[in-house]
Amino acid sequence: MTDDTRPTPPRRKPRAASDETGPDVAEVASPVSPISKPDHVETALPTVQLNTRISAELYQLVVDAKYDRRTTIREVVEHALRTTYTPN
Amino acid sequence: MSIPQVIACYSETGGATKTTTAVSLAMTAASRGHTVVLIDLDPRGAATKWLDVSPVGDGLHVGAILADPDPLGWASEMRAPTNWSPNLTMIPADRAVSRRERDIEEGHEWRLKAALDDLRADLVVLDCPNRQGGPLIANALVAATDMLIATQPTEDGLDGVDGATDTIERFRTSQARRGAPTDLHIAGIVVGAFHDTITPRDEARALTELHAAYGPLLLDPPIPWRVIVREARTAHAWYGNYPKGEIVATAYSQIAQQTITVMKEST
Repeated sequence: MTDDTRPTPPRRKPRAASDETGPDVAEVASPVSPISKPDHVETALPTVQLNTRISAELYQLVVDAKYDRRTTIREVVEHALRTTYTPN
Repeated sequence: MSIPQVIACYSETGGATKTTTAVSLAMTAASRGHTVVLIDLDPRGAATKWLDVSPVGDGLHVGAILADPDPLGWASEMRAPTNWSPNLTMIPADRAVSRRERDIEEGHEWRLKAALDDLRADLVVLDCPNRQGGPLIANALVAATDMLIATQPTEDGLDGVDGATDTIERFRTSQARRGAPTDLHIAGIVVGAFHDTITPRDEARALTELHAAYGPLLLDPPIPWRVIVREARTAHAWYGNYPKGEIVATAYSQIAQQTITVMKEST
């Protein structure tokens, strides 16, 4: 048997959609790039930056030695040792 | 006041005079003293722009109804007044309504019908977007008591009518399959923007084809094309207020007499 005396619960007030101010449908919705990324991202430590600089200098010396520009292999090795073990 | 008749103006073709038909029927009934709510379901908001209506609050356009799982009775509070007639109110659309086209939650198609609960009106007119089904059309099909298909007398318009009848039939079949009511009625096909003074051959041919394919559903008369309708839209005005628009308003009035229940009863 139904109880007709029960009060009707108040109706909810109209409210705007939760995404009312979200991106427009014409905008690309996905925040994820379709280009894959490595799972682990290397942290760029100062030593890596230093080594990069040394590598560039060494590369130039090796190129000079290769084309006989008064740079010897000895000079290349000495430069490498000096820049690696001398504090910057 | 009993449950209102809900007429959905629909076609699968753009520019088929859906908006002109929806607005004209709504205003015709309102000008005869009937209480009418016009609901713009089209994200393009052509009817909203024509009547220059703003929502009653931030974001309270028709998209709010379609986004909420429980919008029971919201239409009563969300209808905004228009400058055209005290009997004509409107729930406007917004570009953001297009977000609702990706909603596929179970039962989403019942939201508009739920929002119309307890609405005190004689007539609700829905201006539908030109879609092949989808969430917006599904809401219109569930809420509507009558579908009114609008078309121009062109091959493209004929294609839109074919698509609309196909969509309605598929909806009926799917409703029957799940045991839901299938009493949706096609009120007829309105041929709009008909060049009655000098009729181009393709229009005459399309009209013949429409008669052959949908004879009993075709409503008479075809609505004559007049530039005043376009001009009035630009000016956010009702073309029926201008002498040059009278012929168009009269034709739509004849369509209203055949399709709107309260107008049939009052004649």
